[in-house]
Amino acid sequence: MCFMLNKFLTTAILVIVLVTACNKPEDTALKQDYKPSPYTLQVPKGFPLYIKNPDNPLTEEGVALGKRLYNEPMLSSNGRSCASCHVKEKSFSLPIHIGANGYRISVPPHINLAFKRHYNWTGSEKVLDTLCIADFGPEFFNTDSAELYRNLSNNAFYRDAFYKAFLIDDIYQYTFVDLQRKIAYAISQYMRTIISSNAKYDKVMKGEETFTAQEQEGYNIFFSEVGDCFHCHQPPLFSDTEFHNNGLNNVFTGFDNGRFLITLNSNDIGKFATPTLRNSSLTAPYMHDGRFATLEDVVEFYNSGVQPSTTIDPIINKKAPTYKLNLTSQQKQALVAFLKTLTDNSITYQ
Amino acid sequence: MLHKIIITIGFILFALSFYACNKPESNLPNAPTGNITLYINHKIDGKTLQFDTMMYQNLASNNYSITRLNYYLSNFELYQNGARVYTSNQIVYIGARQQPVSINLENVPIGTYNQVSFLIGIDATNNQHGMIPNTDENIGMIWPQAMGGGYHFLKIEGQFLTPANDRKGYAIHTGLNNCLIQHQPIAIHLTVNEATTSNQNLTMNLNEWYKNPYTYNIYLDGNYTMGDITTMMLITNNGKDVFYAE
Repeated sequence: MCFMLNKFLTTAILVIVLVTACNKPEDTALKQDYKPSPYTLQVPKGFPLYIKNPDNPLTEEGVALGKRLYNEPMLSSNGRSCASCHVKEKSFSLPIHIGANGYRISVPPHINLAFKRHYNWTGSEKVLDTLCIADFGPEFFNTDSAELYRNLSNNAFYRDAFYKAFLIDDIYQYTFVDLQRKIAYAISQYMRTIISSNAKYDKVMKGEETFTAQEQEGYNIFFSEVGDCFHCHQPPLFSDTEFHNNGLNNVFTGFDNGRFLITLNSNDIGKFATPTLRNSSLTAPYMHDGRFATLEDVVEFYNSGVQPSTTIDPIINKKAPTYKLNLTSQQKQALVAFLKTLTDNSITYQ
Repeated sequence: MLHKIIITIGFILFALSFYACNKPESNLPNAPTGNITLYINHKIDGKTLQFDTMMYQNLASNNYSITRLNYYLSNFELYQNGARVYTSNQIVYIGARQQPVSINLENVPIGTYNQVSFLIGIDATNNQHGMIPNTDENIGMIWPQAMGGGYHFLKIEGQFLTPANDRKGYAIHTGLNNCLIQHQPIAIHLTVNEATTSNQNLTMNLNEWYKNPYTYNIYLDGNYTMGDITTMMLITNNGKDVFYAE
């Protein structure tokens, strides 16, 4: 009897050992072999090479996770997501946000960010991959970390997606700081895929369409010393990705100080990042504080409203002391007509 | 049949002749080479450039500051006793705010060089829309197709004082093929040793853009040049000797 029992136990142990031996390595091997699939970003012809982060390479799974997170109210304690302030129909922007410090801010569009080397009006962020980490704070998401962990870990999609994108088995193994970083990494991967390059302007440049006579006149004004828009708003991005004081103010307080708020260099007072003009017909109001309601207002500002100051850009100040472009009414309308050809109703994104 | 055989043999011999001609050349032992790094500095009559300070004066007595200095250098040539020994076709964008500005010339035959020259701008073949890959740094150098296309060769921008002592912006821009500058050979004494990198400082004196042969007055001759080939040519003709070796 005892011999029989020993034999049974020995057999049972052997079976367990064998099953464990057979299954565990196989499971581990599967996971060890898994790698996210590289994502190939289709950069439009003529665009700069996109700025990569070796620590956060684009992957199919990372982009997919980022897209879901971009639209995910679960990230916040107030129902907000990134998409709340970056509305697709407005070229992923929002007319006005009142900041915690009381600043009135025209929310910049999230298009063609892959090609930029600084972000926000003042260039306060230099790395796209971590751009949205600040949004977890009280001003935007006011995220409850415990609730976020709970919601993400209880969600089958996210459990799977975090593993597939970043090989994260259990988000509880990550500190809140690290979790925010991974979320920001995924969202930045998605944002890199939001590319606008299919406006009427692009089709005309490719010979697929033609400008109207008015649009052509506006094009000629834009790309000549008559309007001299092109020096700061260079195609294909329609931004030179630099900072300029474009003559909005001659006294500077609060947010109007612009880049100076970041660098504390007095030569940067009143300077702001050149915004892209792509989809500008969708992103009213205009300038950093949204002071101009229409494109017509913007053109009129450059035509007759520039204010001198010590840091004004040379390109703007070359018309001193009058600062007038002396455009006719017809020319101003033509310029606006051209700006509207930069509207891309088929922004591509993953 | 014989005709076909003769043609086939002829073809094989023809192909072998290419192989025979090319193969030995590629197998030749490489001549020993080294590298040169050119360090580009920017000064105004000996003073190191400081951006956004109204502290400079040109020959025409214009007081001015500099906010932006961007340009292209290309087609570098090195000489030994008047004979061109080395050519590099690279096109280098220079944004003077980025420091240090350096250019690497690779696989330079060893020896002692006593002259270097280059183009300020881009040759006609490459000065066409889309020929230079856009980067986030050089994207501001595009010369609009509506104004002839290609690229800005040079941008100097800043403020100057008018005779009434008012601050006014200026934008000295050149582009278009007529404005390509073949810089005169610059005397150097630089020895390149095998598998090592030798350094050479080259300095642009920005006041040279406003003199020799023409004394350019920013107020009188034009505070912005783009679109005016006459003023661009005045600047172009002044540009052949803006660099010197240090």
